[in-house]
Amino acid sequence: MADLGAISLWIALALAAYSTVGSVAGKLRLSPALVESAQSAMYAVGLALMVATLSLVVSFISRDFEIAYVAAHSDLAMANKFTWVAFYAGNEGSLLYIATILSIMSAVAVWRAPEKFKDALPYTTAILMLTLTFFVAVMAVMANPFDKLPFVPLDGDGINPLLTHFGMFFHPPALMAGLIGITVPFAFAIGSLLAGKTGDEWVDAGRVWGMVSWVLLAGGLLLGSWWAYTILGWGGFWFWDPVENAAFMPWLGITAFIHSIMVQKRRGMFRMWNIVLINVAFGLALYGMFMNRGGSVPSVHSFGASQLGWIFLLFLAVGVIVPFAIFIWRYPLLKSVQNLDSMLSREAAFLVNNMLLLAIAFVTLWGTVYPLLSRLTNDEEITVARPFYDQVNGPLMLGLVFLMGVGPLIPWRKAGMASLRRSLLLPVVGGLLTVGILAALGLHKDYALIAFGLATFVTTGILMEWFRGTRSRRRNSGDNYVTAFCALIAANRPRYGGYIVHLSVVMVTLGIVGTSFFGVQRDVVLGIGESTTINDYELAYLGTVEVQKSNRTEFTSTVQVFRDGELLDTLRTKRAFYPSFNMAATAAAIRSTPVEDLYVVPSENLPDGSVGFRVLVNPLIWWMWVAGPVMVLGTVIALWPQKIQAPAPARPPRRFAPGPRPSAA
Amino acid sequence: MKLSNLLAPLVYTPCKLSLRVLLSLSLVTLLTVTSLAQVNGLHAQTPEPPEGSYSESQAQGIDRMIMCPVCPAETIDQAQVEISFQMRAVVREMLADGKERDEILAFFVERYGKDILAAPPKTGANLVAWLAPVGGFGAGLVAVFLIIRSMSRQRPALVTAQPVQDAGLIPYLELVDRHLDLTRGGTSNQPSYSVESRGTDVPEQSEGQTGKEGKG
Amino acid sequence: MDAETVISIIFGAVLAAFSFAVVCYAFLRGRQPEVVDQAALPDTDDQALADIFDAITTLDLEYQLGRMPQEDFQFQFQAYRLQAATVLRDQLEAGRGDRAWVLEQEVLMARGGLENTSTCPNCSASVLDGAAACPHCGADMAPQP
Repeated sequence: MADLGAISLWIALALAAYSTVGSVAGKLRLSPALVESAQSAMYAVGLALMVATLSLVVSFISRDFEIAYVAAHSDLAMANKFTWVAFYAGNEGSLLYIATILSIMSAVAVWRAPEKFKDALPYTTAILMLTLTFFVAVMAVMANPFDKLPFVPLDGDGINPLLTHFGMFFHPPALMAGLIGITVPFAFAIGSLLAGKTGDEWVDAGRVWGMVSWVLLAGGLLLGSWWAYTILGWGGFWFWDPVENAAFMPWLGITAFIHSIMVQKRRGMFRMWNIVLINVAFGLALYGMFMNRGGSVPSVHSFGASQLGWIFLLFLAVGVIVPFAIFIWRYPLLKSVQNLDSMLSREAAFLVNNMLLLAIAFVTLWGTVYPLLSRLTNDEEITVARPFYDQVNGPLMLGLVFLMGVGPLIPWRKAGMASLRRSLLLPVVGGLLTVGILAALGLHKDYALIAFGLATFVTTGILMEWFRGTRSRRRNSGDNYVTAFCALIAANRPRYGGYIVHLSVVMVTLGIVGTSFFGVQRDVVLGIGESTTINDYELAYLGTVEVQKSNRTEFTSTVQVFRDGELLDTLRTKRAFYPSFNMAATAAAIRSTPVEDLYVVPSENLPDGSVGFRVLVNPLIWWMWVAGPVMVLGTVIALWPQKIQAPAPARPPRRFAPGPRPSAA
Repeated sequence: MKLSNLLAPLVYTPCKLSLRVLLSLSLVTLLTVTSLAQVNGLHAQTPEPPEGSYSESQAQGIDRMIMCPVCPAETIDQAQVEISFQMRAVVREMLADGKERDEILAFFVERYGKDILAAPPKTGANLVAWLAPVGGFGAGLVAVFLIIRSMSRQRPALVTAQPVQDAGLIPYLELVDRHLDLTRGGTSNQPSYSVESRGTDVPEQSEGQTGKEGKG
Repeated sequence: MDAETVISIIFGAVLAAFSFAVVCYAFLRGRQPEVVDQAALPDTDDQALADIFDAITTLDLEYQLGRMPQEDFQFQFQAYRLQAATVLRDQLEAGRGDRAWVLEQEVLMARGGLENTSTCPNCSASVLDGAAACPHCGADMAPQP
């Protein structure tokens, strides 16, 4: 099947290149047939790439080790379910996945583009297809997943053991789709500029696709954190690894974008700013891809040394400089017609929101780049890791949480002091009460106090809005609370979807604050039958079973958990050693409750049967994982189309036959 | 602002008072309950190791400041390899000897170089690493302020509304009003929902209202 | 060359041919009269109308949540109302717009609720003054002063 894959890859390249050139040429030479042909080529590219992907997946499933990529990332011992998803584990395969996803998203986006955007659509198609051509060309020429080995090996090298985990099904696809998905709103924005459009035609498509890539990135990041938490064996979920940062920064950019695009949709303002913002987000996404493949910074995630770094750097440079040049060229067209009425308004709040998000992105970028800078200027090797980011980004993120609470409560245009006071009173009281009560109970960590206070502040504000909206609607329609609430959401989907997403962010904050400030960690070596305590838990180690599997040795250790003498749970934790990779993969045993997680993971297995355990109590982290589905729910609600239909007449309209005017009833 | 003014809305809306207070108190309780568990955790620390006079969390804090020399981007607290275990043991040994945190960090820097630290030292040229974000944030605040000010400057702006009202619009206003009536459930001059505790609720008859038959 | 390679090449050729056909189809289909409504201003279509009604909904919500004084609300509401009427007029007089609005119009006219109507010379149906085309038969209406 490799040959079919290789052939379809080249077909895809030809089609993508043709589509790019044809769209622009057809538009400039006013040849609608050429434009249409280029658009059809775009749909065909999707098909060709799907064929290529399918043939790669089939090669994995059938364990066709003649293909170098398959041999490098799978083996006979690999469980069948992972053969379906192993194809995006490595550099070449992930490029194929990215290209396929981009072609599908492009096809859907162009197909569903609003009517009023039609004359700019060829430019959008061209930009999407240019990006796609780049990826497919890089693949076909430099990193072909279908390259064959000169012989057929008996067995493959096997996949990195850390990847044989449930998270492999969702985290990489979501994250990569989110990153490349930023190309779509970007293409709409730049296409609109190229066509010389002055209005806001691209905003609807930009908003929808911005939110789609937002939720994919957010979901991917949360899934990655959860995956790291369960498999990496040190009890944490995020450590500012350069590749994590590379996905985090575009997410920040696209978060800023989906907020400020609301202002453009509502009031036609921020036109220039939104173009700048989507350029920045796209640039950060390209930078992320460069980071992942350039190998310039060491990381848990690196695809390893690769010559692709220079090519991606070049594409990054083009992808940043050219759009900004276009922006400067079309700058005069983008003047907004509206004024900002007051510094105390939602528009201004969105600007501050954008600034905070970009500040966090800048700090993250700075921390990622500083080691290189230091090496070049000072000739000094410096590491920038967690302590730096925690200290600098922490306060910024708290500021963001505060803004999340205040923003929805500030009216558009101008906030009167009276209305502000009315809206903010209860949340502020709630926040201060929380701080006071917690401090009185003995909690003295400043950041944690502030964070909990802000969490109450935001939650109170949101619930208050829901309550007041429901009550007013109920008074009008006479329904019960539940019906009125559902109707309220249905009538204001973007808004209430947004509220739900904000609640999920509060949940993530709780998880982060609880674990960071109140987590407790112990490393102990336990012999068989020995026990240890952590907080109010007592852990008794019962023993280990050693099982030899074809490519690994698995040690399963059993630990019993007691509290106040009562048996709470029996935990089984696993550690597997892979000789061919010379590495161990662990599966932690986690006893999870909304209050705290008890986390037990083995760090070493000694010959006499005793085990080195790391035991952690992570408070509130359960909220962080639950926030994921809540976030997705909120986004789905916000994206659900809310078309206002033309009027529903009170009576069925009478059909008129041509004739004299009927007499009035 | 007097406290009574601040609290007035809460007090003078008696029928809503109980509900609001209930709401805020339940939220506070929820968060308190979850936090209480942590408070317990604060006091019931894991027992101190017998040797030396340091706390395990102190040692872990230092662990998190030192990178593992062989693992990519992991601190010795995270890494579960032999050299990491050894380095952790050295940290605890030195703590037991009574060394301070800075001395321990300096010891490792001497042996492995400055990049063994997990964050740039706050001295010398590397101070720039810490100051740049602060500077950037300050610049950002200034930029936002300037942008807001430039957007607020009086411009001969198009008012969003009031297109010229001519008689030809009347039939179309009819259509719009009918649609609004049907979807909002009120007359087109009023909001469809009653507004809470506003005081003045009498809607004004403004221009544009075409009193005619055939309505509603 | 083994069977698998041959099959791959055949499928590859099929894909190539299909793609080629798809690309050429647009040219072979023959020239269609390009209905590019360049005169269509971006903001006079159904989405604009939907946006205005959307804005009214949000305005309602903000008002009943107590965020703006009544004068502001009335001002903005009337502004939106007039804007909607203007957009609707532009649409219907140019013969564009959702069919349902046209039928609505007929209902009102039949109930005698509207003045300013005349009769289409072609089909004798009622037509509003200022309309460019009859909503029933599409005949051009003489421009009204």
